[in-house]
Amino acid sequence: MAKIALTLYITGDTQNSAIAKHNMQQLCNNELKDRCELTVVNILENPQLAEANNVVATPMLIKERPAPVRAVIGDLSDGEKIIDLLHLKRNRR
Amino acid sequence: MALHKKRNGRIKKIETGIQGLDIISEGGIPEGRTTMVSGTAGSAKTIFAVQFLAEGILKNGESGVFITFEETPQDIRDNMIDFGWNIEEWEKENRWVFVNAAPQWKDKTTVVGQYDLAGLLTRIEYAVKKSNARRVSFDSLGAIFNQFSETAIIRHEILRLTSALKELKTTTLLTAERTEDFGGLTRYGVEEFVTDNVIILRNVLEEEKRRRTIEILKFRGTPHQKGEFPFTVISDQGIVVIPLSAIELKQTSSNIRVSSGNKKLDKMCGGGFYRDSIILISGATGCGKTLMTTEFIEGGVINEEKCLLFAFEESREQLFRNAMGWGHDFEKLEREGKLKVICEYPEVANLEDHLISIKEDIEEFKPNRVAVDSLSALERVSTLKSFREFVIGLTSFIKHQEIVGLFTATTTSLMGGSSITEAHISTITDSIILLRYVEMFGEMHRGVIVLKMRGSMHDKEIREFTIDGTGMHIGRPFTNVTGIVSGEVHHIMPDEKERMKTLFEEES
Repeated sequence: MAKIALTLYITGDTQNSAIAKHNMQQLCNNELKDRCELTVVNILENPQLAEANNVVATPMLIKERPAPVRAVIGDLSDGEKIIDLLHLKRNRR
Repeated sequence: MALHKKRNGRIKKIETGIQGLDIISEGGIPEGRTTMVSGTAGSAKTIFAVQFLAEGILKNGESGVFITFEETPQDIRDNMIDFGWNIEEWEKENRWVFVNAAPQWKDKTTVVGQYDLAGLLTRIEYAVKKSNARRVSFDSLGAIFNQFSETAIIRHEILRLTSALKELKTTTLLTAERTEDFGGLTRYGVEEFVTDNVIILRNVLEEEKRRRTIEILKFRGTPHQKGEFPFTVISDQGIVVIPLSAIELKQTSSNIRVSSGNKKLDKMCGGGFYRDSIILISGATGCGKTLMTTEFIEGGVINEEKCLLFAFEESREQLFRNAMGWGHDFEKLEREGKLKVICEYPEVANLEDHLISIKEDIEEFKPNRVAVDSLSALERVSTLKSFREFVIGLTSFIKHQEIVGLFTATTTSLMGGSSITEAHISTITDSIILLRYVEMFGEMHRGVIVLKMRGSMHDKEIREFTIDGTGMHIGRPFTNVTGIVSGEVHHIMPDEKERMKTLFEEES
């Protein structure tokens, strides 16, 4: 099965960005372990990459695959909610 | 231009390049600052925002960044091509950069936790640096509130954004939507962030007609003209502001006389019309206005002058046939390039557009005399206010060109009376000639009087005139009749007249 492709757009080490990055790494290492591929894009370094998804608010998480494409903004402090919003299934415990 | 005084203020201005705006703003919008353009839906905000960048590219070689919150870049490219702005081409040359902040997701973006607009800010900074932009347009900032519900966060972030732009030293234009043409400045209180410079666009429905105006509400620390100015949006040009107050002042006056085309009338005027004057001919329908216009043109052609005639009442065929009836071959004159006749229905455009196309025609043909028959026909398509502005704009433009202009106005009543046209332009025109029907013992006669002739002696008598196959023939003054101008004709017995005469003689 193809892995879940997630892209997280952050702006350097700002508080919101740091928290979001941490939260996503937690999520990928636990609930979505072995099933997801997380790309973190720091748009301070690669601003041209932000054009692709019209990034306005940050941090922004995009689920590229599987369809449908979904977006969530914020520091992603509620992992359960993100799994629901992105229509993903949890790993069985 | 005319009124553009250079002051030694610390705030420099950047010329927008939008026609007329740089006159009323006395040199453009404040450089390196943010100016808010506020208006209701359909008030041409987006065009304004695009044109600000387009003129920068075209006239000053300055590149620009356009941040769009509502329409997609493709929509903007497509919508603006008619104005002659090839945005796609500029994008390839890195002179125009879009930052697309239009909502890409159907619903409001889902929010989990804290966020900010650092992403947008980063993209704008990147775009400005990449293209070395001097101008930035936001359209429309208010729309960002539709994308995000957390207004407190957005407000805080906009504040950050504007201060970041200050650092970048770009001149920024920011559009904001308002709900009414007269009322609160913007829907979401965007003005809280940019209170220094505010421009308002209005699109008001008045007597079933749309009237666009622009007003510079304030420029902090630098002068500008006050009040509303009409503007219009035309293809190939975009927004054109009509700077009324600025064009009135620089008018020269010459003592050179030109012929009215009728020797007797020249004599009544004290030797003809002045070369850079405006003459108004007022009278009821059918009393000879078009004939006077025709003779006026013929008078020009005889003196090797080029004539331009705008006809708003009659068709080309009708006009040419009438002229032919009096022995003037307009068709031949047109072929020889001595005359140009432009026939249009007043209804085809609003007055602002008429004014601009008339100006363009005059600039292109470069005539020595211009006739408009009739000005009253244009009243129909506008409000009184617009009409007044139109007349002022047109007369001052014609005077600027140092050519003679002849306008006709139709009075509403057959006998005497005045027209709205007359009331609105009588103080602007240099000469007024009235044509009147005079009822005498069961017959209709025609009378002509030179009511006003600025800076010259003129005939004070009301003369009778007749019209036949060769034109207009001015004859003797009316005697034993009073009240012709007012339309209430009274016949005076000769002995009474004699008595009146002695009465005045005794007193003087």
